[in-house]
Amino acid sequence: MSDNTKDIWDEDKLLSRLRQGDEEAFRVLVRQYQQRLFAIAYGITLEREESLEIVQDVFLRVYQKLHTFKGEAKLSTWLHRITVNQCLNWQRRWKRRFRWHHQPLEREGAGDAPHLGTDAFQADKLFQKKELEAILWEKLGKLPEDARAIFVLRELEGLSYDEIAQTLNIRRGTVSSRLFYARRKLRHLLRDYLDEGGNP
Amino acid sequence: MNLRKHILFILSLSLILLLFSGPVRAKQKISIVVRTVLASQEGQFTDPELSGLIRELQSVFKYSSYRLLSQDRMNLGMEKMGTASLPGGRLLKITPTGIRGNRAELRLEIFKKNRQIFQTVIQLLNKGSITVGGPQHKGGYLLFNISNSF
Amino acid sequence: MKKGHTECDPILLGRFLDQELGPDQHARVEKHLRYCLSCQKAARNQHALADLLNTKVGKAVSLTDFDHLERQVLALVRDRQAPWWQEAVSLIFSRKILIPAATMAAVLTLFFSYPRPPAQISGPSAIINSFTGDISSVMILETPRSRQTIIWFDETF
Repeated sequence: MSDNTKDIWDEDKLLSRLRQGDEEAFRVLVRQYQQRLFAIAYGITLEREESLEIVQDVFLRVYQKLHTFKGEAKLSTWLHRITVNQCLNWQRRWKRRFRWHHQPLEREGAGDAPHLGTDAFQADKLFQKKELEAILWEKLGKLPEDARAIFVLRELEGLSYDEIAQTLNIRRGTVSSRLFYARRKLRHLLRDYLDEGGNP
Repeated sequence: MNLRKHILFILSLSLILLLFSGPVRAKQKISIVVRTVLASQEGQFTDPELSGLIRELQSVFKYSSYRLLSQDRMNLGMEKMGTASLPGGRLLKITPTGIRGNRAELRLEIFKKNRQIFQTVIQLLNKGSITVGGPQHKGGYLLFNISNSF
Repeated sequence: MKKGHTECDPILLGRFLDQELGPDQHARVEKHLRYCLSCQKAARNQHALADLLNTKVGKAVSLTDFDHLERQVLALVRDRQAPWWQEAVSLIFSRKILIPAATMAAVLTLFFSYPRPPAQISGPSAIINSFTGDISSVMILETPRSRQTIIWFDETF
């Protein structure tokens, strides 16, 4: 690994080098964004394997379509947009719905329970939290995917309403209302698991 | 004279072959096997009699258990209907209607409590199969695998 | 709710927590939040949901081999680097392709010099000519390897 790949490049520098066909720049792009894009894809699709495929497709698309990116938005906005579009494209949605009909959403982290007798073992709390994460995942699946996408962009990526609006090519008011709807629906779905103090 | 007879014989044979180059209707029979499988997420079980089928289905479904509930064999002539009883008061009716090349034309109908759920006409590859699913049943789903040979 | 304080507005509260309000509205909601137990609870719920999501996704991220993903992406991109015609030409004229191709051509010429009946293209295991039913939905699929046909339907009764 060359020293260059250890740098965090700012977007302008990255974009400029990418346009020149700099291979190192593409490697930096992948390294800098793959985790974030995976996180977004995972939050929307709720499936790890599919999220990995989506991330690959996103970078391939960036490689193929870089010449069409005019720089009217930030590079990160463009990457987010491609990722969300890949997650929400009709073929993937159709296959996902079919898969969910036949298998429950994967429950990860099943193997990392703490051992009895250790300080880490606080049975009630840990069990409760793990169960709640699994339940959240299941309830997230009940949100419409476009509402889930906005929820994920806000809560995972911390994007502002304007950034989300630009990413999804919708109005700011629409971002606000869909986000409100997503949170309200989730709260309703999880009402039995959130106590009076608002804690899980 | 012999040459003329030979030519006439060859021409007649060709004519007969031409007449029968379309769907074979006469006495051809089709051997059909219907396997009823219960697929579910409960437990891990793969019926050894279904190993080939399960390998294919696992590329689409992610069930952990596949259990053969019943198997029906029938030998049907054209336009002759065969039936297979399915769980949950269901009935499968199969009627071959012809053979085109390497495929048999079959009409499949599924009934539930004497009411038709669906009807489909398919062309099934010789030694091939189709899987139809999936009514819910006892915590899983029913799959009906229909295979044929002729 | 005490008299004189603003009423609860869950939409405004959401925007407040997202730091999306102008200064005046922000100040009003902040003041309201000091006294309103219901909005305090809603705020805690919103934070709790965000924390759960971040924890869950964070775990998935930590379990993922991103080095491997990076290698796969770079390999994918490398496959698409040369123009297709260049790749085709270099492939055709490589010795390991040319000799077997010539041999195959000779064999096929011999094979097809004898008249045979036209071969049937196999395709999927079943071709669906028609489908009618009293069902709520139907899907028709093929398994990727042997193209075995699957019909999946949902009963309405």
